[in-house]
Amino acid sequence: MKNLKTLLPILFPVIFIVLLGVGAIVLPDHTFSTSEMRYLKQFPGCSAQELVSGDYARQLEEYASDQFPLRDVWIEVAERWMLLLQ
Amino acid sequence: MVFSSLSFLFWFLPLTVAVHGGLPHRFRNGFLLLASLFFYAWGEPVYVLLMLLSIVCNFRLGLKLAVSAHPRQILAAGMVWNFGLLAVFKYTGMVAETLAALTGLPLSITAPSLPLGISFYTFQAASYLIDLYRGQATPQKRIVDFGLYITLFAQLVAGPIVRYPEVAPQLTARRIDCNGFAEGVRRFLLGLGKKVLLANNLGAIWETVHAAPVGDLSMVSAWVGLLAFALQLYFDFSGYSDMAVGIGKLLGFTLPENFQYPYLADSISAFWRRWHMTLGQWFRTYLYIPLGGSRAGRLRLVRNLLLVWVCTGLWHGAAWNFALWGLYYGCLLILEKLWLGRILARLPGIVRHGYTLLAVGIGWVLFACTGPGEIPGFLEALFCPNGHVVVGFSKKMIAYLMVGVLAATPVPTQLAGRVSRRFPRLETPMAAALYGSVTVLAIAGLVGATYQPFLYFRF
Repeated sequence: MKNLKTLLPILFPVIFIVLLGVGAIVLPDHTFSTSEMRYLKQFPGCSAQELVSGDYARQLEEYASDQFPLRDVWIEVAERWMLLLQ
Repeated sequence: MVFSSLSFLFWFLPLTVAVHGGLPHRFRNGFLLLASLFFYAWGEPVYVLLMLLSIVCNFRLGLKLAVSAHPRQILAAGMVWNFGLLAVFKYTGMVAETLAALTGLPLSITAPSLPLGISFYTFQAASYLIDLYRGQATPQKRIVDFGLYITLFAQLVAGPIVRYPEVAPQLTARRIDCNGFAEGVRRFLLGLGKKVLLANNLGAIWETVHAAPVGDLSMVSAWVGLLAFALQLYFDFSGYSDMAVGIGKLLGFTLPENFQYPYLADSISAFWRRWHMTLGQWFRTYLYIPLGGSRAGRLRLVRNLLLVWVCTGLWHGAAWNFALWGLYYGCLLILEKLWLGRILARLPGIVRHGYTLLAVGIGWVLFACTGPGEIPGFLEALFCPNGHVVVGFSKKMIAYLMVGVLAATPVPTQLAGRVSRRFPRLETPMAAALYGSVTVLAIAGLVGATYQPFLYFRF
Protein backbone atom coordinates (compact mmCIF):
# COMPACT_ATOMS: atom_id res chain seq x y z
CA MET A 1 0.00 0.00 0.00
CA LYS A 2 2.77 2.38 0.95
CA ASN A 3 4.65 1.48 -2.22
CA LEU A 4 1.55 2.15 -4.28
CA LYS A 5 1.25 5.62 -2.80
CA THR A 6 4.88 6.32 -3.70
CA LEU A 7 4.62 4.94 -7.20
CA LEU A 8 1.19 6.23 -8.21
CA PRO A 9 2.21 9.81 -9.03
CA ILE A 10 5.00 8.67 -11.34
CA LEU A 11 3.13 5.78 -12.92
CA PHE A 12 1.70 7.83 -15.76
CA PRO A 13 4.96 9.58 -16.72
CA VAL A 14 6.93 6.32 -16.70
CA ILE A 15 4.39 4.31 -18.71
CA PHE A 16 3.83 7.20 -21.08
CA ILE A 17 7.53 7.64 -21.79
CA VAL A 18 8.03 3.91 -22.35
CA LEU A 19 5.00 3.67 -24.65
CA LEU A 20 6.07 6.66 -26.73
CA GLY A 21 9.61 5.34 -26.94
CA VAL A 22 8.43 1.93 -28.15
CA GLY A 23 5.81 3.53 -30.40
CA ALA A 24 8.40 5.66 -32.14
CA ILE A 25 10.31 2.53 -33.12
CA VAL A 26 7.32 0.32 -34.00
CA LEU A 27 5.03 2.78 -35.80
CA PRO A 28 5.56 3.34 -39.54
CA ASP A 29 7.38 6.51 -40.67
CA HIS A 30 5.63 9.35 -42.48
CA THR A 31 7.05 11.06 -45.52
CA PHE A 32 5.16 14.35 -45.61
CA SER A 33 3.62 16.64 -43.03
CA THR A 34 0.51 18.37 -44.37
CA SER A 35 0.27 20.72 -41.39
CA GLU A 36 3.84 21.95 -41.84
CA MET A 37 3.92 21.57 -45.64
CA ARG A 38 7.32 19.92 -45.73
CA TYR A 39 8.96 16.53 -46.20
CA LEU A 40 9.87 14.82 -42.95
CA LYS A 41 13.33 13.51 -42.21
CA GLN A 42 13.76 9.82 -43.07
CA PHE A 43 16.02 7.34 -41.31
CA PRO A 44 19.51 8.57 -42.20
CA GLY A 45 22.06 6.42 -43.98
CA CYS A 46 25.38 6.32 -42.24
CA SER A 47 28.84 7.17 -43.51
CA ALA A 48 32.06 6.79 -41.53
CA GLN A 49 32.75 10.50 -41.89
CA GLU A 50 29.38 11.52 -40.48
CA LEU A 51 29.75 9.06 -37.65
CA VAL A 52 33.10 10.53 -36.62
CA SER A 53 32.03 14.17 -36.89
CA GLY A 54 28.89 13.66 -34.81
CA ASP A 55 26.71 14.64 -37.78
CA TYR A 56 25.07 11.23 -37.80
CA ALA A 57 23.87 11.66 -34.21
CA ARG A 58 22.43 15.07 -35.13
CA GLN A 59 20.59 13.55 -38.11
CA LEU A 60 19.17 10.78 -35.92
CA GLU A 61 17.99 13.41 -33.46
CA GLU A 62 16.23 15.25 -36.28
CA TYR A 63 14.71 12.00 -37.54
CA ALA A 64 13.44 11.15 -34.05
CA SER A 65 11.80 14.54 -33.74
CA ASP A 66 10.21 14.46 -37.22
CA GLN A 67 8.86 10.92 -36.85
CA PHE A 68 7.81 11.19 -33.21
CA PRO A 69 4.46 9.51 -32.45
CA LEU A 70 1.54 11.97 -32.49
CA ARG A 71 3.84 14.72 -33.70
CA ASP A 72 0.95 16.93 -34.82
CA VAL A 73 -0.72 16.58 -31.43
CA TRP A 74 2.46 17.65 -29.62
CA ILE A 75 2.89 20.66 -31.85
CA GLU A 76 -0.70 21.62 -31.18
CA VAL A 77 -0.28 21.23 -27.42
CA ALA A 78 2.81 23.44 -27.60
CA GLU A 79 0.94 26.05 -29.64
CA ARG A 80 -2.12 26.05 -27.36
CA TRP A 81 0.18 26.47 -24.38
CA MET A 82 1.74 29.49 -26.06
CA LEU A 83 -1.66 30.97 -26.97
CA LEU A 84 -2.95 30.41 -23.46
CA LEU A 85 -0.37 32.84 -22.14
CA GLN A 86 -0.46 35.48 -24.85
CA MET B 1 23.65 13.60 -25.82
CA VAL B 2 21.77 16.13 -23.70
CA PHE B 3 19.20 15.27 -21.04
CA SER B 4 16.52 17.34 -22.75
CA SER B 5 16.72 15.50 -26.08
CA LEU B 6 14.26 12.94 -27.38
CA SER B 7 16.90 10.26 -27.86
CA PHE B 8 17.97 10.58 -24.24
CA LEU B 9 14.52 10.79 -22.69
CA PHE B 10 12.79 8.04 -24.66
CA TRP B 11 15.50 5.52 -25.43
CA PHE B 12 18.81 6.00 -23.72
CA LEU B 13 17.59 6.66 -20.19
CA PRO B 14 14.78 4.04 -19.96
CA LEU B 15 16.95 1.35 -21.55
CA THR B 16 19.99 2.11 -19.39
CA VAL B 17 17.98 2.20 -16.17
CA ALA B 18 16.12 -1.03 -17.04
CA VAL B 19 19.20 -3.00 -18.09
CA HIS B 20 21.23 -1.68 -15.15
CA GLY B 21 18.50 -2.70 -12.71
CA GLY B 22 18.18 -6.16 -14.26
CA LEU B 23 21.87 -7.03 -14.37
CA PRO B 24 23.68 -8.92 -11.58
CA HIS B 25 25.69 -6.54 -9.39
CA ARG B 26 29.10 -7.51 -10.75
CA PHE B 27 28.19 -6.48 -14.31
CA ARG B 28 26.51 -3.21 -13.42
CA ASN B 29 29.57 -0.93 -13.35
CA GLY B 30 30.91 -2.30 -16.61
CA PHE B 31 27.56 -1.75 -18.28
CA LEU B 32 27.21 1.78 -16.89
CA LEU B 33 30.72 2.63 -18.07
CA LEU B 34 29.89 1.49 -21.61
CA ALA B 35 26.57 3.35 -21.54
CA SER B 36 28.31 6.51 -20.33
CA LEU B 37 30.95 6.29 -23.06
CA PHE B 38 28.16 5.89 -25.62
CA PHE B 39 26.37 8.90 -24.11
CA TYR B 40 29.56 10.95 -24.47
CA ALA B 41 30.46 9.68 -27.93
CA TRP B 42 26.99 10.56 -29.25
CA GLY B 43 27.96 14.22 -29.38
CA GLU B 44 31.78 13.97 -29.26
CA PRO B 45 32.81 10.85 -31.17
CA VAL B 46 36.49 11.84 -31.36
CA TYR B 47 37.05 13.37 -27.93
CA VAL B 48 35.87 10.19 -26.27
CA LEU B 49 39.40 8.95 -27.03
CA LEU B 50 40.88 11.89 -25.13
CA MET B 51 38.68 11.06 -22.17
CA LEU B 52 39.70 7.39 -22.28
CA LEU B 53 43.35 8.41 -22.35
CA SER B 54 42.76 10.70 -19.40
CA ILE B 55 41.06 7.88 -17.46
CA VAL B 56 43.95 5.47 -18.07
CA CYS B 57 46.54 8.11 -17.10
CA ASN B 58 44.81 9.15 -13.90
CA PHE B 59 44.12 5.54 -12.95
CA ARG B 60 47.80 4.60 -13.32
CA LEU B 61 48.95 7.74 -11.53
CA GLY B 62 46.58 6.96 -8.66
CA LEU B 63 47.98 3.45 -8.25
CA LYS B 64 51.57 4.74 -8.41
CA LEU B 65 50.90 7.57 -5.99
CA ALA B 66 49.75 5.14 -3.32
CA VAL B 67 52.96 3.08 -3.32
CA SER B 68 55.59 5.57 -4.47
CA ALA B 69 58.38 6.90 -2.27
CA HIS B 70 57.93 10.29 -3.97
CA PRO B 71 54.18 10.87 -3.99
CA ARG B 72 54.69 14.60 -4.39
CA GLN B 73 56.31 14.21 -7.79
CA ILE B 74 53.57 11.92 -9.00
CA LEU B 75 50.93 14.34 -7.80
CA ALA B 76 52.73 17.14 -9.65
CA ALA B 77 52.81 15.04 -12.81
CA GLY B 78 49.08 14.40 -12.43
CA MET B 79 48.33 18.11 -12.05
CA VAL B 80 50.45 18.97 -15.07
CA TRP B 81 48.64 16.33 -17.13
CA ASN B 82 45.11 17.30 -16.08
CA PHE B 83 45.43 21.05 -16.08
CA GLY B 84 47.70 20.88 -19.12
CA LEU B 85 44.91 19.20 -21.08
CA LEU B 86 42.47 21.80 -19.87
CA ALA B 87 44.87 24.61 -20.79
CA VAL B 88 45.50 23.28 -24.28
CA PHE B 89 41.90 22.57 -25.17
CA LYS B 90 40.20 25.41 -23.38
CA TYR B 91 42.57 28.35 -23.19
CA THR B 92 44.83 28.15 -26.28
CA GLY B 93 42.56 30.37 -28.33
CA MET B 94 42.20 32.96 -25.61
CA VAL B 95 45.95 33.16 -24.92
CA ALA B 96 46.80 33.39 -28.63
CA GLU B 97 44.25 36.12 -29.24
CA THR B 98 45.43 38.11 -26.24
CA LEU B 99 49.08 37.81 -27.25
CA ALA B 100 48.23 38.84 -30.78
CA ALA B 101 46.30 41.86 -29.53
CA LEU B 102 49.08 42.90 -27.12
CA THR B 103 52.09 42.39 -29.34
CA GLY B 104 50.58 42.86 -32.76
CA LEU B 105 52.13 39.57 -33.88
CA PRO B 106 50.18 37.72 -36.55
CA LEU B 107 49.33 34.76 -34.29
CA SER B 108 46.56 32.92 -36.02
CA ILE B 109 46.25 29.65 -34.15
CA THR B 110 43.16 27.65 -34.89
CA ALA B 111 42.24 26.60 -31.37
CA PRO B 112 40.80 23.07 -31.00
CA SER B 113 37.08 22.87 -30.27
CA LEU B 114 36.31 22.44 -26.59
CA PRO B 115 35.73 18.79 -25.59
CA LEU B 116 32.36 18.35 -23.91
CA GLY B 117 32.50 18.43 -20.11
CA ILE B 118 36.30 18.70 -19.95
CA SER B 119 36.16 21.31 -17.19
CA PHE B 120 34.05 18.96 -15.08
CA TYR B 121 35.93 15.72 -15.55
CA THR B 122 39.34 17.36 -15.24
CA PHE B 123 38.33 18.72 -11.86
CA GLN B 124 37.07 15.33 -10.73
CA ALA B 125 40.26 13.59 -11.81
CA ALA B 126 42.44 16.23 -10.13
CA SER B 127 40.45 15.96 -6.90
CA TYR B 128 40.95 12.17 -6.93
CA LEU B 129 44.73 12.50 -7.08
CA ILE B 130 44.85 15.24 -4.43
CA ASP B 131 42.62 13.24 -2.09
CA LEU B 132 44.90 10.22 -2.54
CA TYR B 133 47.95 12.34 -1.80
CA ARG B 134 46.33 13.72 1.32
CA GLY B 135 45.36 10.24 2.46
CA GLN B 136 41.67 11.09 2.29
CA ALA B 137 40.97 8.33 -0.23
CA THR B 138 42.28 4.89 -1.06
CA PRO B 139 43.27 4.21 -4.68
CA GLN B 140 40.73 2.49 -6.88
CA LYS B 141 42.19 -0.80 -8.08
CA ARG B 142 39.63 -1.58 -10.76
CA ILE B 143 39.86 0.55 -13.87
CA VAL B 144 36.19 -0.04 -14.68
CA ASP B 145 35.11 1.46 -11.36
CA PHE B 146 37.52 4.37 -11.72
CA GLY B 147 36.34 4.95 -15.30
CA LEU B 148 32.78 5.02 -14.04
CA TYR B 149 33.67 7.60 -11.38
CA ILE B 150 34.93 9.90 -14.13
CA THR B 151 32.34 9.20 -16.82
CA LEU B 152 29.02 8.44 -15.07
CA PHE B 153 26.66 10.06 -17.57
CA ALA B 154 24.48 11.61 -14.88
CA GLN B 155 27.24 14.08 -13.97
CA LEU B 156 29.70 13.82 -16.85
CA VAL B 157 28.95 16.92 -18.88
CA ALA B 158 27.59 19.50 -16.44
CA GLY B 159 28.23 18.34 -12.88
CA PRO B 160 27.69 18.16 -9.99
CA ILE B 161 31.43 17.79 -9.43
CA VAL B 162 31.68 14.71 -7.25
CA ARG B 163 34.62 14.01 -4.94
CA TYR B 164 35.86 10.46 -5.10
CA PRO B 165 35.49 9.60 -1.37
CA GLU B 166 31.82 10.61 -1.61
CA VAL B 167 30.94 7.99 -4.23
CA ALA B 168 33.61 5.33 -3.62
CA PRO B 169 31.32 3.21 -1.40
CA GLN B 170 28.51 3.54 -3.96
CA LEU B 171 30.77 2.25 -6.72
CA THR B 172 31.14 -1.05 -4.85
CA ALA B 173 27.63 -1.50 -3.51
CA ARG B 174 24.41 0.36 -4.16
CA ARG B 175 20.77 -0.47 -3.80
CA ILE B 176 17.83 0.67 -5.88
CA ASP B 177 14.52 0.41 -4.07
CA CYS B 178 11.00 1.51 -4.82
CA ASN B 179 11.35 4.79 -2.89
CA GLY B 180 14.65 5.69 -4.47
CA PHE B 181 13.28 4.97 -7.93
CA ALA B 182 10.17 7.09 -7.38
CA GLU B 183 12.25 9.92 -5.95
CA GLY B 184 14.60 9.70 -8.92
CA VAL B 185 11.76 9.97 -11.42
CA ARG B 186 10.20 12.90 -9.54
CA ARG B 187 13.48 14.76 -9.31
CA PHE B 188 14.26 14.15 -12.98
CA LEU B 189 10.85 15.39 -14.11
CA LEU B 190 11.12 18.51 -11.97
CA GLY B 191 14.49 19.26 -13.53
CA LEU B 192 13.15 18.61 -17.01
CA GLY B 193 10.25 20.96 -16.31
CA LYS B 194 12.62 23.67 -15.05
CA LYS B 195 14.71 23.36 -18.19
CA VAL B 196 12.07 22.95 -20.91
CA LEU B 197 9.15 24.92 -19.49
CA LEU B 198 10.89 27.71 -17.59
CA ALA B 199 14.51 28.20 -18.70
CA ASN B 200 13.84 27.99 -22.45
CA ASN B 201 10.96 30.45 -22.32
CA LEU B 202 12.74 32.87 -20.00
CA GLY B 203 15.70 32.62 -22.34
CA ALA B 204 13.47 33.80 -25.20
CA ILE B 205 12.67 36.97 -23.21
CA TRP B 206 16.36 37.65 -22.60
CA GLU B 207 17.09 37.07 -26.29
CA THR B 208 14.47 39.66 -27.25
CA VAL B 209 16.16 42.23 -25.05
CA HIS B 210 19.71 41.20 -25.92
CA ALA B 211 18.99 41.37 -29.65
CA ALA B 212 18.46 45.14 -29.45
CA PRO B 213 21.59 47.34 -29.53
CA VAL B 214 22.45 48.30 -25.92
CA GLY B 215 22.25 52.00 -26.81
CA ASP B 216 18.55 51.62 -27.66
CA LEU B 217 17.52 49.85 -24.46
CA SER B 218 15.12 51.55 -22.11
CA MET B 219 15.61 51.17 -18.37
CA VAL B 220 12.59 48.91 -17.96
CA SER B 221 13.63 46.65 -20.85
CA ALA B 222 17.13 46.31 -19.43
CA TRP B 223 15.85 45.32 -15.98
CA VAL B 224 13.29 42.90 -17.38
CA GLY B 225 15.96 41.36 -19.60
CA LEU B 226 18.37 41.03 -16.70
CA LEU B 227 15.72 39.41 -14.51
CA ALA B 228 14.89 36.97 -17.32
CA PHE B 229 18.57 36.11 -17.78
CA ALA B 230 19.14 35.59 -14.04
CA LEU B 231 16.14 33.26 -13.85
CA GLN B 232 17.00 31.46 -17.08
CA LEU B 233 20.52 30.70 -15.88
CA TYR B 234 19.23 29.45 -12.54
CA PHE B 235 16.53 27.17 -13.98
CA ASP B 236 18.78 25.94 -16.75
CA PHE B 237 21.62 24.91 -14.49
CA SER B 238 19.69 23.89 -11.39
CA GLY B 239 17.27 21.98 -13.64
CA TYR B 240 20.24 20.15 -15.11
CA SER B 241 21.54 19.40 -11.61
CA ASP B 242 18.09 18.15 -10.54
CA MET B 243 18.03 15.80 -13.51
CA ALA B 244 21.54 14.63 -12.64
CA VAL B 245 20.61 13.89 -9.03
CA GLY B 246 17.40 12.17 -10.21
CA ILE B 247 19.24 9.98 -12.72
CA GLY B 248 21.76 9.16 -10.00
CA LYS B 249 18.90 7.92 -7.80
CA LEU B 250 17.54 5.76 -10.64
CA LEU B 251 20.94 4.06 -10.74
CA GLY B 252 21.34 3.83 -6.97
CA PHE B 253 23.77 6.77 -6.60
CA THR B 254 23.37 9.67 -4.20
CA LEU B 255 24.99 12.65 -5.92
CA PRO B 256 25.69 15.89 -4.05
CA GLU B 257 23.29 18.82 -4.29
CA ASN B 258 24.39 21.77 -6.39
CA PHE B 259 21.85 24.51 -5.62
CA GLN B 260 19.92 25.70 -2.61
CA TYR B 261 17.68 28.62 -3.54
CA PRO B 262 20.64 30.92 -4.31
CA TYR B 263 18.49 33.99 -4.92
CA LEU B 264 17.37 33.87 -1.29
CA ALA B 265 20.93 34.51 -0.10
CA ASP B 266 21.49 37.60 2.04
CA SER B 267 25.17 38.14 1.21
CA ILE B 268 27.53 37.33 -1.63
CA SER B 269 29.35 34.73 0.45
CA ALA B 270 26.00 33.09 1.19
CA PHE B 271 25.07 33.26 -2.50
CA TRP B 272 28.18 31.29 -3.41
CA ARG B 273 27.39 28.70 -0.77
CA ARG B 274 24.05 28.17 -2.54
CA TRP B 275 24.96 28.50 -6.25
CA HIS B 276 26.91 25.73 -8.00
CA MET B 277 27.85 24.45 -4.57
CA THR B 278 30.13 21.63 -5.72
CA LEU B 279 32.34 24.00 -7.73
CA GLY B 280 32.64 26.38 -4.78
CA GLN B 281 33.57 23.47 -2.52
CA TRP B 282 36.17 22.30 -5.03
CA PHE B 283 37.92 25.67 -5.15
CA ARG B 284 37.69 25.98 -1.38
CA THR B 285 39.12 22.53 -0.67
CA TYR B 286 41.82 22.41 -3.32
CA LEU B 287 42.87 26.03 -3.81
CA TYR B 288 41.65 28.51 -1.18
CA ILE B 289 42.48 26.53 1.95
CA PRO B 290 45.88 25.23 0.70
CA LEU B 291 46.81 28.86 -0.06
CA GLY B 292 46.19 29.69 3.59
CA GLY B 293 42.54 30.72 3.33
CA SER B 294 41.65 33.55 5.69
CA ARG B 295 44.07 32.52 8.43
CA ALA B 296 47.31 33.97 7.14
CA GLY B 297 46.76 37.67 7.56
CA ARG B 298 44.81 40.28 5.64
CA LEU B 299 47.18 40.63 2.73
CA ARG B 300 47.22 36.90 2.11
CA LEU B 301 43.44 36.79 2.39
CA VAL B 302 43.11 39.43 -0.31
CA ARG B 303 45.59 37.64 -2.57
CA ASN B 304 43.89 34.27 -2.02
CA LEU B 305 40.41 35.51 -2.72
CA LEU B 306 41.48 37.35 -5.87
CA LEU B 307 43.35 34.33 -7.20
CA VAL B 308 40.56 31.86 -6.41
CA TRP B 309 37.91 34.06 -7.99
CA VAL B 310 39.79 34.91 -11.15
CA CYS B 311 40.25 31.14 -11.55
CA THR B 312 36.56 30.56 -10.86
CA GLY B 313 35.71 33.17 -13.47
CA LEU B 314 38.01 31.66 -16.08
CA TRP B 315 36.66 28.19 -15.31
CA HIS B 316 33.29 29.43 -16.58
CA GLY B 317 34.68 30.40 -19.94
CA ALA B 318 37.90 31.23 -21.73
CA ALA B 319 37.22 34.93 -22.20
CA TRP B 320 38.26 38.06 -20.35
CA ASN B 321 34.72 39.04 -19.42
CA PHE B 322 34.57 35.85 -17.30
CA ALA B 323 37.84 36.80 -15.60
CA LEU B 324 36.34 40.23 -14.92
CA TRP B 325 33.21 38.57 -13.55
CA GLY B 326 35.35 36.44 -11.22
CA LEU B 327 37.43 39.43 -10.17
CA TYR B 328 34.23 41.34 -9.39
CA TYR B 329 33.13 38.57 -7.02
CA GLY B 330 36.62 38.37 -5.53
CA CYS B 331 36.45 42.09 -4.70
CA LEU B 332 32.95 41.82 -3.24
CA LEU B 333 33.99 38.89 -1.06
CA ILE B 334 37.09 40.75 0.15
CA LEU B 335 34.90 43.70 1.12
CA GLU B 336 32.46 41.40 2.91
CA LYS B 337 35.23 39.59 4.79
CA LEU B 338 37.01 42.78 5.82
CA TRP B 339 34.19 45.07 6.91
CA LEU B 340 31.03 45.02 4.80
CA GLY B 341 29.95 41.70 6.34
CA ARG B 342 29.90 43.20 9.84
CA ILE B 343 27.85 46.17 8.70
CA LEU B 344 25.46 43.98 6.72
CA ALA B 345 24.82 41.79 9.76
CA ARG B 346 23.40 44.80 11.58
CA LEU B 347 21.09 45.89 8.73
CA PRO B 348 17.50 44.67 8.25
CA GLY B 349 16.95 41.56 6.13
CA ILE B 350 15.37 43.42 3.23
CA VAL B 351 18.48 45.58 2.77
CA ARG B 352 20.78 42.54 2.87
CA HIS B 353 18.66 40.69 0.29
CA GLY B 354 18.37 43.78 -1.87
CA TYR B 355 22.13 44.32 -1.82
CA THR B 356 22.78 40.67 -2.71
CA LEU B 357 20.32 40.58 -5.61
CA LEU B 358 21.64 43.85 -7.00
CA ALA B 359 25.26 42.71 -6.75
CA VAL B 360 24.47 39.35 -8.35
CA GLY B 361 22.46 41.09 -11.08
CA ILE B 362 25.38 43.34 -11.98
CA GLY B 363 27.51 40.20 -11.96
CA TRP B 364 25.24 38.63 -14.56
CA VAL B 365 25.69 41.68 -16.79
CA LEU B 366 29.43 40.98 -16.83
CA PHE B 367 28.66 37.30 -17.44
CA ALA B 368 26.16 37.75 -20.25
CA CYS B 369 27.59 40.66 -22.23
CA THR B 370 30.49 39.38 -24.29
CA GLY B 371 30.68 41.99 -27.03
CA PRO B 372 33.11 44.92 -26.76
CA GLY B 373 31.60 47.95 -25.07
CA GLU B 374 28.45 46.03 -24.25
CA ILE B 375 29.03 45.94 -20.50
CA PRO B 376 29.17 49.73 -19.89
CA GLY B 377 26.28 50.20 -22.34
CA PHE B 378 24.07 47.74 -20.54
CA LEU B 379 24.97 49.14 -17.11
CA GLU B 380 24.09 52.61 -18.40
CA ALA B 381 20.71 51.37 -19.61
CA LEU B 382 20.09 49.83 -16.17
CA PHE B 383 20.91 52.88 -14.11
CA CYS B 384 20.39 55.97 -16.28
CA PRO B 385 16.81 56.77 -17.32
CA ASN B 386 17.03 57.59 -21.02
CA GLY B 387 13.48 57.90 -22.34
CA HIS B 388 13.85 55.07 -24.85
CA VAL B 389 10.73 53.13 -25.76
CA VAL B 390 10.06 49.98 -23.76
CA VAL B 391 10.27 46.76 -25.80
CA GLY B 392 6.78 45.28 -26.18
CA PHE B 393 6.46 42.68 -23.44
CA SER B 394 3.51 40.34 -23.88
CA LYS B 395 1.34 39.04 -21.04
CA LYS B 396 2.98 35.69 -21.62
CA MET B 397 6.42 37.08 -20.86
CA ILE B 398 5.19 38.71 -17.68
CA ALA B 399 3.49 35.48 -16.64
CA TYR B 400 6.71 33.53 -17.16
CA LEU B 401 8.69 36.06 -15.15
CA MET B 402 6.22 35.88 -12.28
CA VAL B 403 6.16 32.10 -12.28
CA GLY B 404 9.95 32.13 -12.51
CA VAL B 405 10.38 34.44 -9.53
CA LEU B 406 8.01 32.31 -7.47
CA ALA B 407 9.61 29.03 -8.52
CA ALA B 408 13.06 30.32 -7.53
CA THR B 409 11.87 30.40 -3.89
CA PRO B 410 10.75 27.53 -1.63
CA VAL B 411 7.16 28.89 -1.70
CA PRO B 412 5.71 26.29 -4.13
CA THR B 413 7.19 23.40 -2.12
CA GLN B 414 5.97 24.87 1.17
CA LEU B 415 2.52 25.46 -0.29
CA ALA B 416 2.27 21.89 -1.57
CA GLY B 417 3.41 20.60 1.82
CA ARG B 418 0.79 22.68 3.61
CA VAL B 419 -2.04 21.58 1.32
CA SER B 420 -1.12 17.91 1.63
CA ARG B 421 -0.95 18.16 5.43
CA ARG B 422 -4.34 19.82 5.52
CA PHE B 423 -5.92 17.47 2.96
CA PRO B 424 -3.90 14.22 3.11
CA ARG B 425 -6.14 12.54 0.57
CA LEU B 426 -5.26 15.12 -2.06
CA GLU B 427 -1.52 14.48 -1.86
CA THR B 428 -1.32 11.61 -4.36
CA PRO B 429 -3.75 13.05 -6.95
CA MET B 430 -2.01 16.43 -6.73
CA ALA B 431 1.42 14.89 -7.26
CA ALA B 432 0.08 12.74 -10.12
CA ALA B 433 -1.42 15.82 -11.79
CA LEU B 434 1.81 17.80 -11.36
CA TYR B 435 4.18 15.15 -12.72
CA GLY B 436 1.72 14.14 -15.44
CA SER B 437 1.31 17.66 -16.75
CA VAL B 438 5.05 18.39 -16.54
CA THR B 439 5.65 15.26 -18.64
CA VAL B 440 3.08 16.16 -21.29
CA LEU B 441 4.12 19.82 -21.53
CA ALA B 442 7.82 19.02 -21.54
CA ILE B 443 7.39 16.53 -24.39
CA ALA B 444 5.31 19.09 -26.26
CA GLY B 445 8.05 21.62 -25.63
CA LEU B 446 10.72 19.24 -26.92
CA VAL B 447 8.85 18.00 -30.00
CA GLY B 448 6.95 21.17 -30.76
CA ALA B 449 9.78 23.66 -30.48
CA THR B 450 13.28 23.66 -31.87
CA TYR B 451 15.38 22.24 -29.13
CA GLN B 452 17.82 24.39 -27.19
CA PRO B 453 21.01 23.03 -25.67
CA PHE B 454 22.13 23.77 -22.13
CA LEU B 455 23.87 27.01 -21.26
CA TYR B 456 26.32 25.39 -18.90
CA PHE B 457 27.33 22.93 -21.54
CA ARG B 458 30.43 24.54 -22.89
CA PHE B 459 32.29 25.09 -19.65
